[in-house]
Amino acid sequence: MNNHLFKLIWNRRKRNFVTSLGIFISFLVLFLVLVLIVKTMGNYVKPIGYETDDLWFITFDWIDHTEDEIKETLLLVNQALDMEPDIEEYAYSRAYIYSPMVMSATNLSYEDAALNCHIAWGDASLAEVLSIPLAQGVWFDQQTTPDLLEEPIVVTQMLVDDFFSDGIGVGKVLERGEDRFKIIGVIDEFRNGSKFSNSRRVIIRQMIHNASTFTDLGESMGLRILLKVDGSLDADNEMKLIKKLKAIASDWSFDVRELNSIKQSAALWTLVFPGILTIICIFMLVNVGLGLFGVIWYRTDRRKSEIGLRRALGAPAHKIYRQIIGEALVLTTFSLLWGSLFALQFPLLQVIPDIETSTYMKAYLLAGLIIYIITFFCALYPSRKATRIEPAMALHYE
Amino acid sequence: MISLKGIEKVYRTDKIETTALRNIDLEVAQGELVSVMGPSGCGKSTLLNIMGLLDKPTHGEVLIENALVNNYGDIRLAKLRNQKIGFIFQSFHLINDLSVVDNVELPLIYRLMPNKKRRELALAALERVGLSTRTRHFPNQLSGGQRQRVAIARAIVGNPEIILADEPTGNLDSVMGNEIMDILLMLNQEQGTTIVMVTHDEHLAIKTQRVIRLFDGAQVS
Ligand SMILES: Nc1ncnc2c1ncn2[C@@H]1O[C@H](COP(=O)(O)OP(=O)(O)OP(=O)(O)O)[C@@H](O)[C@H]1O
Ligand SMILES: [Mg+2]
Repeated sequence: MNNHLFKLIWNRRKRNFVTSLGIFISFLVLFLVLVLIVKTMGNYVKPIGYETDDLWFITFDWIDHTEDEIKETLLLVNQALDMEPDIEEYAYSRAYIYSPMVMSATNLSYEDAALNCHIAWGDASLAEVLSIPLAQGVWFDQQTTPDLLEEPIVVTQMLVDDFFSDGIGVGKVLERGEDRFKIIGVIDEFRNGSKFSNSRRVIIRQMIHNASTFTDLGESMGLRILLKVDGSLDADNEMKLIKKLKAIASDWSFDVRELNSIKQSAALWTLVFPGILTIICIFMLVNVGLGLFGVIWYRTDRRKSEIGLRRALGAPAHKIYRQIIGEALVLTTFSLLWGSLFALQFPLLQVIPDIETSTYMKAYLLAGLIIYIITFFCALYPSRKATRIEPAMALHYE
Repeated sequence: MISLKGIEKVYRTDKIETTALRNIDLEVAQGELVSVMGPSGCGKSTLLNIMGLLDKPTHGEVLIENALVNNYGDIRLAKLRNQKIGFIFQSFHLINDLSVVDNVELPLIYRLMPNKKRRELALAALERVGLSTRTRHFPNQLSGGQRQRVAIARAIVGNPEIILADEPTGNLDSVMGNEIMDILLMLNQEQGTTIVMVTHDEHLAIKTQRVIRLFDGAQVS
């Protein structure tokens, strides 16, 4: 019977080609979309690299002030924060946490390799405030003045893996033109966007804010003071804090918010692209399904006399049923084999950067399974109808 | 071999009711070669379909080898058709996308046997209808007479006891028609195959042992 199925499909290859092409294309598109979805979902279960419970943050807007004036004000802000009993600790950062859209990037090189890396800034307290565990080395130290010729940086494990074959980051120096960055610590992850965003090569540079040194402030955008509170900071306290800050600099605007309050919208932002693709993909699959259903139905209808003949020659109804579904599945298998050759190129040639083979494998299996399920269901009804064909009637047709 | 008792067949559609057969009592003995004749629309094909278990009568009993098959389920009926009966149709009903030998193998697809055995039986059947040189051809590369011979090979490949032929020569000229008739006669005489054949051709009917005549759904002789 299987032999017979293959023969039939092969002999009808010209008619089957278009259907097969349709299955082939939808398999590939589905595969690629699933790579993205599997990757995104895989991100979700991975550690994000920091904790944001009981964290608040202050953002500012200063207008027309000299750098010295800004420094002076921020030192006063520091003093005010030191006095707050509810604030356990605070840290300056330009780390874009839960801001998937912003992150500055640059090319860094080590020996012959040059890779695009993201840059964040944080002060000596940031690791503690965000509960970032260190995998290797140390975090910045408030006391020691950093070496200006070899600026200390903390990097993510991914950067280490991509740059250094020995897996050791601490002590290595990355370069960007004249600038030299020396790795003093390695952290597992620093995915600023959301639980859904990809792992990245990130370097964290030190922000210093004391009477003698203040890291280049640039503009207020992106600069945040993260506050570790003891959990009792509420809307009331928030207003009080803003008032106190306003008292320090009346022409600045301050905003104090809970960090987790922007967590969800950040997650949504990172899901926009996969989400749109998923919707398009579902739309495509529905179309493919309907098309396939139509083709199988139409063809089965055209084959009434063949089916009647088979019944006359001794095929019981259930074998007709199996044949129609079997043909659809065999045709799908052909299309998928053909599609697999293409799908295989993606991991082999690393067409999309930073996707693991296991992600491709999962997407591949899932895409195959979904296509099989769709063909199966599309063939179900037409094959049902085919079993109801009365042999005497069908043979009458021609 | 086949007995029909009190067969009546009524076709019901939305508006009209057609009585295709009425009060048919018929017995075909093993090894008989019978022809069925009658004007167009008198119910010959309907009769053959009922004998061949392709259609169920509205009333009456169908017995194959003394077994009442009226209440058989689909699987048992299919098995009977597959093993006991071979069909030959006026319009051949070959599958155009399958080669000659694959067409002949078709009834064996529904039997449990190794592929090699199927192929052997199919080639042997083609040999018997004199088509061993055309096994790899496709139906549309054959003449009408050759196509009907393929259909006969397909009907006999499973070694059935009964062959039901509905105007097997209807689409053929008289020379080819005679060839087909000769093959059927040979099968009947050499194998003892029971054959019921519908025909419009008196010359062919003469060659059979018995002629059943239908008129307007009833048996007239
Ligand atoms: N499926 C059907 N539905 C309704 N009426 C039918 C059906 N099949 C056959 N009939 C009617 O039953 C009668 C007998 O038809 P049948 O095909 O048996 O005739 P026939 O003797 O084989 O004719 P012909 O010599 O033209 O092949 C005809 O009047 C026909 O119209
Ligand atoms: Mg007829």
